[in-house]
Amino acid sequence: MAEQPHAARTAGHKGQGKRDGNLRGVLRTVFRWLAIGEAVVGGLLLSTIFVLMLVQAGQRYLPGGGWVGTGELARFSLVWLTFAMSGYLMARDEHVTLKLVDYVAKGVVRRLVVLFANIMVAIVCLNLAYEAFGMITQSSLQVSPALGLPIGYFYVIPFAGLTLTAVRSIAAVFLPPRAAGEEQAA
Amino acid sequence: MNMLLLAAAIIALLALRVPVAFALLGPCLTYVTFNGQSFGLSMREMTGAIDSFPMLAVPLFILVGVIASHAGIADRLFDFALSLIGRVKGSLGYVNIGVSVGFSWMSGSALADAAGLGRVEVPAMVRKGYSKRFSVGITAASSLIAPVMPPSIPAVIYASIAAVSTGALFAASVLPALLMAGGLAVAVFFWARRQTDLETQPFDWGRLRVATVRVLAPLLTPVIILGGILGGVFTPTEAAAVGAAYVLLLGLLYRTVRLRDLARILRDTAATTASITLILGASGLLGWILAREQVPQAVADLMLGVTDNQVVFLLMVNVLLLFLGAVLEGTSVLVITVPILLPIAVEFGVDPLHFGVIAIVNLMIGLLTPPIGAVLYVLSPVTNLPVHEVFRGTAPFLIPLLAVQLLITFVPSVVMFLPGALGL
Repeated sequence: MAEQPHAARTAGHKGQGKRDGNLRGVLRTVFRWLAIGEAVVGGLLLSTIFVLMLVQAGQRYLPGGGWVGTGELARFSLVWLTFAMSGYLMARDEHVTLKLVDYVAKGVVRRLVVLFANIMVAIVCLNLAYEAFGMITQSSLQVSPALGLPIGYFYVIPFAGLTLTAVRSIAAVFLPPRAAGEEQAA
Repeated sequence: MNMLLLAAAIIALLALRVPVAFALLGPCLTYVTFNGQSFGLSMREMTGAIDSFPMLAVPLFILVGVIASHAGIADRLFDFALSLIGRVKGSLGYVNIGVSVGFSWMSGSALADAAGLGRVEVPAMVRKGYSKRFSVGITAASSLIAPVMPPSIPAVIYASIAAVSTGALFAASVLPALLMAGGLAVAVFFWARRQTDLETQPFDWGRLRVATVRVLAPLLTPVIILGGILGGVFTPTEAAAVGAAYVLLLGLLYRTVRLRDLARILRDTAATTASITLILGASGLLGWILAREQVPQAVADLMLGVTDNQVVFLLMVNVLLLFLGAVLEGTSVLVITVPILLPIAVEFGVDPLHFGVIAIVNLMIGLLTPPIGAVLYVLSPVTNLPVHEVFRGTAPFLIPLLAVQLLITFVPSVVMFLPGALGL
């Protein structure tokens, strides 16, 4: 009988551990797919820039007027690519970062520094995402010069990218790194 | 918000492992909030800094380099250079430099050069009796030629920030890059003279002929890119796209790039691009704040108060950029310092093209020096040497590189000759 509470406690721990494990597994899967999606979008936007610039180089020497929106769409694609890949980079710790602290701080101190960095990134991204959301909802009358794209639409991908970067940073704060963003398979 | 406080906050965040882009953005957003600026200003300034036609060349030149790495072009250049000068004592040292020069016409990144060529060159040199430390040192040092020789990614970024012609800056960078190669070759010459057990290989016309045929098509890449730009056939951005298409075609023909590799090539290029352009976006907002607070004018007044001598100014700039390049990431320093230092340099009578090359070479030397020294950290796992050993191998080569840097700084014609001759 004396063992029962201990056994119950152990079973409780195991149950909790299993639930945590499941949650981590689900999150890992979600973040992996998210990273694949971001990489696909980034790759497609890069391909767009590549093809449009080839078209632009060619249309100068080929008969026919060419398409006026080539340069503008390519420039927009670069902006979208930047924000679309931000979360992907965050998850893989591939943003340009000074990692000096990794050489001077170990253990708890290093973990605290990484935690602080993630919180800072989340704050900055949420702030910018809020601004981007405001631009989406407020800029309905303005359109881009060549494509005629409503300026609000221009900020949709930056908003999504910044939000996903913030999600990655917040996840990294509350979950161990392996669960937060191990998208190596992406 | 005081500018010193802004600077201190940025430095503190950088030291606390916050990614560079967000370390710049955090204090800048605080400034914008506390100064009651209009809603959306930060996003507009950020996107505005990236949304530029010349900047489109950045992902495309990165793409050229990534495809060239996958296509095995470095191996062909290596075979060609070795068959050409294999009988010379210390030949693999010269081959190392020569391959970097050849590869630099296709790749604008030192890290791509070091990672890609390091895997080929260092083991080959060690097999032929070269010490691992020397092999990794010359590989690291010669990788700096890539970001200086056109098509150079830092040059595209500088040209965009400084509003100078990318083509002219490319032309201005050619002689300095060749001088860097020459300086390193001199260092190899003096090192090789002291060695007794280096293997050489006899000259073989047949081998040279085969290697030459194998390298001819890749060597057309710089002709297409630079010839296209300097001949007025393409803009730099279009030339980058055409160059990428050509290298991709070569890779597909050589069967070293397969269609299934394309996804990885595009993903790697997109990730590298985003890591650079996000910093550019952040620097756009920082640049707006610096201009609003008249920081360039204040720094100019301060510097003019210290000296009105161009030589002293350039020495100060060199020391400052070498220091910043050693403790910060090069592209970040470029985008932060150019808006401040360039107007001052112009006041001192320094041409923006000349200043651009000085800044780029200084900051790239920082890739070889601790504590940041990104090339050291790239080569350490590639060669299984600890970082401090990689630096010990690299350190002697800093002498010729710094000598070339002084030459570039104080003999402007080294930089300005080619743009002048080409009428750029």
